[in-house]
Amino acid sequence: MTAPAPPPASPVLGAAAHDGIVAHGLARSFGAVHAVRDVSLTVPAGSVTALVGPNGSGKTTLLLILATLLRPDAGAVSVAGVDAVREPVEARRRLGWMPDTLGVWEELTCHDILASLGRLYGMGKAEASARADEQLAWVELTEFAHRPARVLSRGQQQRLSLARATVHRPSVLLLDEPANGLDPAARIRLRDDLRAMAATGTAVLVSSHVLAELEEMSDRAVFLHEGATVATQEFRATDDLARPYRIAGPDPTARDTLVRALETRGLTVTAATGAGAGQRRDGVVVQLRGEAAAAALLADLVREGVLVSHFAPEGSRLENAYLGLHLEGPRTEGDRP
Amino acid sequence: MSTAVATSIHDRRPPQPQPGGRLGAAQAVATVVGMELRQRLRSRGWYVLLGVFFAVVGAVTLGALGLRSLGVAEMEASGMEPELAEQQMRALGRTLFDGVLLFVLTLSLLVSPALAANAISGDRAGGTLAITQVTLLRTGHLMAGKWLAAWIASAAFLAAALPWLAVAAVVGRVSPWAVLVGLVMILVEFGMIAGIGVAVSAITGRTLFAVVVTYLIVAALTIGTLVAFGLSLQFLQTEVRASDAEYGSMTAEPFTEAELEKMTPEEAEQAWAEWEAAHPELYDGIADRCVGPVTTRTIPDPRRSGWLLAANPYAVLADASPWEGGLIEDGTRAEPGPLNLLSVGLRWTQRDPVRDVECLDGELRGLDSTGVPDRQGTWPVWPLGLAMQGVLVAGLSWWGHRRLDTPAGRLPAGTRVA
Repeated sequence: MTAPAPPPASPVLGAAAHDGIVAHGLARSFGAVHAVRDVSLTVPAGSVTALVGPNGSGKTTLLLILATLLRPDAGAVSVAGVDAVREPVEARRRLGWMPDTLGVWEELTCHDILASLGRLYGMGKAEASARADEQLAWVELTEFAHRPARVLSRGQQQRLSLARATVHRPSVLLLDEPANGLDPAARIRLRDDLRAMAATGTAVLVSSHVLAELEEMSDRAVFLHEGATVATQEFRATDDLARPYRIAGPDPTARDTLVRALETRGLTVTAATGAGAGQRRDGVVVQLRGEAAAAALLADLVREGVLVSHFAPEGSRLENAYLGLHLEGPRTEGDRP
Repeated sequence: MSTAVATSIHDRRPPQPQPGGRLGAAQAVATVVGMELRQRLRSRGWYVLLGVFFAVVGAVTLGALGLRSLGVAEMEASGMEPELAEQQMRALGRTLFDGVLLFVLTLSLLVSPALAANAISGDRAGGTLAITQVTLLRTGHLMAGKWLAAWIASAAFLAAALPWLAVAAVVGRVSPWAVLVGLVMILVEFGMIAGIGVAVSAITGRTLFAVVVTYLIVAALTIGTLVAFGLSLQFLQTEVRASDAEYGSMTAEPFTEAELEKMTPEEAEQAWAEWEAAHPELYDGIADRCVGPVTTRTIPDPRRSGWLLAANPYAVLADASPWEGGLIEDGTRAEPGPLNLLSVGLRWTQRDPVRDVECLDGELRGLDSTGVPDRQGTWPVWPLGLAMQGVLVAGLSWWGHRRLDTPAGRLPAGTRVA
């Protein structure tokens, strides 16, 4: 039934391209609503790229375009070197997609779902069944192999969904809000799984509004605002950027000593910003460039005898980068763990 | 669940990228059918529905059998001639079988739209549609698989009714050919309804809407065609010149009360029989004379709108059913069963209505209005009906395919891809 797959033709970017995702000038509107206006992004193979933006910024629409489910009004997408707009089937062969709604065939068993999806990717019966077992072992759902998917918990369904999205061994993986509704343990597990997949050369694009968590798993972030990519950030480079550190001593009344010590070192001290109601936020905030600078400052303060009980970066780097964009309009809603 | 946290990623090998194979049409359709059927067959409601179907058809069949046995008992009691009794038995049996068949079609028309219209919109609501759409599965194969699965699901209802149809066929001594044609045509109609339901569920985003629209289309086919035909007769009329026909009737009692009182019951019966034999014109359906002036009258001419009825599922079933109203051995005519009668009614619309006008131009033509109906000189309607239904299914499927195909261009208002 299934002919052996010839090597993928890639008319757009050349035969050698195995580049994850490259998108240029994507736009898509629904009637008068311009969900995606101008998106250009790259997701390199072997990396986890975070897609960051407030609700309504076009994240899901963008992922649907990348997943070949929506046709862009303008722009070009290449998935693993295949023009995804002109050759959606070839692109589908190479991409896995995990939607924010965990679609589950409630009456089918976990093994049945994975094997059937494997069949829909052109595998033979035996191959699909073996692949289903392999995937179930990977997400540790083997004990549920022959039980209907409806008995799974949300976290297990999400793992099944990940196994489903990768059943055909895609080289590009798209995940829409995968951490939604997961407990912290399941989130950590998801992070590890995505990092492991990136380590094998998969290009992973993951959208979320839980910024701190995205930061833990991603190498890069693409910021989306009102349907357009507004910035891209490599996290390894963020050390060169100023980021806020909160410094506090054990005695709140000794705050003046601390402020003076910092100001003599030429640092601008801001008051405890963002102190939420009922939240104990002692100390002061200074902007520091890089971890080396932070370490030097701490050593310096200790050497001088300034009592320090708290010395830590304030907020996540991703959050700071995001807030640093000073975007108008709706802010990312707070769902900080 | 959270025990998984402790597991190191090194214990579990993540999937390595590798491009997959090709997906053939047969594998694609078979996989969709398999998933759909397993999803359905594992739900309990499905078996409950089948059980109810079996029980209801059984109740109707047993009720009809009861009526039939009453008729048989009456025949035996009246001491009817064996040949005539045999003929009557056959007619009753055919009526029984046809009735059960029509009932099965009716119940299925009520059940299968709901089953089929859930096929794609249900997946859309459950979030599983888009997941199959990002695989190598083509939209046409997805729809074909859903259609086949819906067809098989409605065929299960026919299977549930099969024991009762077998009882009706055996008791009614219906020819195997008539049984076979009846079953095949019901299956074909199931296919049409399933096709409509799946196509509509591909077109609309919402399950409830798809179910309602499918029911409306089925209603348009079953009731709408009748109403449209009836209305059309108001506009499609022809003029004939004719006078009034007069049928014989008793103008006075042939025997006086006093005469009857003098006779014994046997004598009275004898006298009546002789009188009837002497005055056959009073007891037939043939006009005796034309009276009154010849005037211009308008009569409905069904020939230009009769085709509307062909799209009716009942019409297709009835018209395809083998004709059994022909001559039987002794030269008398068999009574046609309900399906044959329906077919005669359908094909009546092909005839020149002038043919049935008694006293055309004032001339007595001697048409027998109570004669055994026949289909002579008419052509079969069911191929036209199947063609009309087929065009409808094809058109809806084309539209559904356009709506469902990905990457999606325009989206139906208020729907999401995933």
